[in-house]
Amino acid sequence: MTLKVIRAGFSSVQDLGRFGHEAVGVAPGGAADPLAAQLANALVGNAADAALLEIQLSAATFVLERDACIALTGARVDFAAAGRPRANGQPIWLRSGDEIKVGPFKQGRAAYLGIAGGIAVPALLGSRSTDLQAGFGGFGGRWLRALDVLTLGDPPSKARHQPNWWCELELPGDHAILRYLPGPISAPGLANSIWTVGRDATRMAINLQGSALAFDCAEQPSGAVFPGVIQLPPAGLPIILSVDAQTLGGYPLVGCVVHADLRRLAQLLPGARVKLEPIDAGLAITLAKRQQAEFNATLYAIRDRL
Amino acid sequence: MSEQFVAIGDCAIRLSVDVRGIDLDALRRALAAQDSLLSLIPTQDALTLRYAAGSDLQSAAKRATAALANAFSVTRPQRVHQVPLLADKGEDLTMVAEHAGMSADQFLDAFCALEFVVVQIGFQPGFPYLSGLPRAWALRRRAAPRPRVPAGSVAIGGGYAGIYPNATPGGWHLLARTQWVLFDPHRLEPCLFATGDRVRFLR
Repeated sequence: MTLKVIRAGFSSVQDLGRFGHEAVGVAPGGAADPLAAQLANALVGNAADAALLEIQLSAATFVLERDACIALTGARVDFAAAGRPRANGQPIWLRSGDEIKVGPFKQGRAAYLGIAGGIAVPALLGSRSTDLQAGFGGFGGRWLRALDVLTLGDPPSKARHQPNWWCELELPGDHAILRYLPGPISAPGLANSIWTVGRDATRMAINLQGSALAFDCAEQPSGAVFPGVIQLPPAGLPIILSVDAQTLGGYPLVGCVVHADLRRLAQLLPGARVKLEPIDAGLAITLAKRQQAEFNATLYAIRDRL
Repeated sequence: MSEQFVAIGDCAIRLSVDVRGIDLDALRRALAAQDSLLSLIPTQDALTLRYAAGSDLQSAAKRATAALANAFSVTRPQRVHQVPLLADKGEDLTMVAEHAGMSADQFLDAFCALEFVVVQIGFQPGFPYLSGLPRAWALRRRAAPRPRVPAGSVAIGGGYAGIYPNATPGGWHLLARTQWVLFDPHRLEPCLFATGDRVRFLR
């Protein structure tokens, strides 16, 4: 009743995050691309918040030690199971002993491997996600390693015929636009540059490279931060906090990427060109509602067909 | 109470408010009926609230401001933590003591005579920001953070004292270490300190 890790890459157990403990410094974290994670769970018949594997831009191999339905979503990735190439974004029924090979990545950086029944790690502070910074939750509070054995939950569905459809979510390419709401601190010039995603982009933050902005701002008291927050350190190169943002940060806060673009942010590859586009709050809310409505329609369509 | 709020992005607001004495659970309960509140992040001089996507922040801010007035707890016990320091000295102790015009020994004695107050917790789980450092001792953070600060390091930075719960990168100046485990997610109450608690260090 397990999944064995043969080659771990940068894989971790995640769900939709650990909310409610920010006052003692626990960052919510969770899946970097929550829609892709929910899609993977929907495809295998799990609840939206079931624990699954997030694989960050690395090749990974697993062996199933029981029959199970799986699905791979998020980043566009070459993917083989039981020795055959498979499509992203569809349920695939496998037998005990089958090997799942993920990689190389073709577009995007966070792929999700959903498995019927979910990964049965214990919930800690209300979540099964791995807090990689603080080192707790998920599987041992860390990235997976070769030979780790993950217990799987009870499978909620039986094997069926292979569907002839698949679902994919939009992914950013080499040139991406991130829409944001400016402020509270004003940083003229933020929107006028083409930025490059730095090599050291992580689940915590995306560093933008480019011509530094002239920016003179007094040292700020540490304030609340969260995914999407754009900080501008004295060096004048923006940092956008991603899913593993800490709860507090001390750099001047010059904007926040709108909710509808957070998954695009999480899928940006190092080297990608990024333009920051200021929009107003009304449009941001419209975009968020439209994204959720479209995603809900996808989920309904999947449930209809499974 | 003033209705001063700042929106940060399309899902969060920051209310300028003195968070001492706010019962966050009571506030969360009061807002749960109408708002899908995700996170409450108290800081020294503000409370930040994160909502689900698509929320109307104007009216959410009004409700939060109103609910805040009724969310002050009168029963919170005042705790004092006496944190024992290990004998080995922190890497920056000599430099910090010199900056304060003292020997390392004198500095630690003076440091241990102070009473600090936990004004906010964050950066990592359980990391307390302690106010009460004499202004003359305040030092800017290191220009480049250390890649790995040992767990339990007692440090000062940006006018605060603090304790690193885990081994992490860190930009504060290291004075000493303690064996106390500040945060353990398996404990009934994971975080040892709460905002408003008092802290003293023992040599």
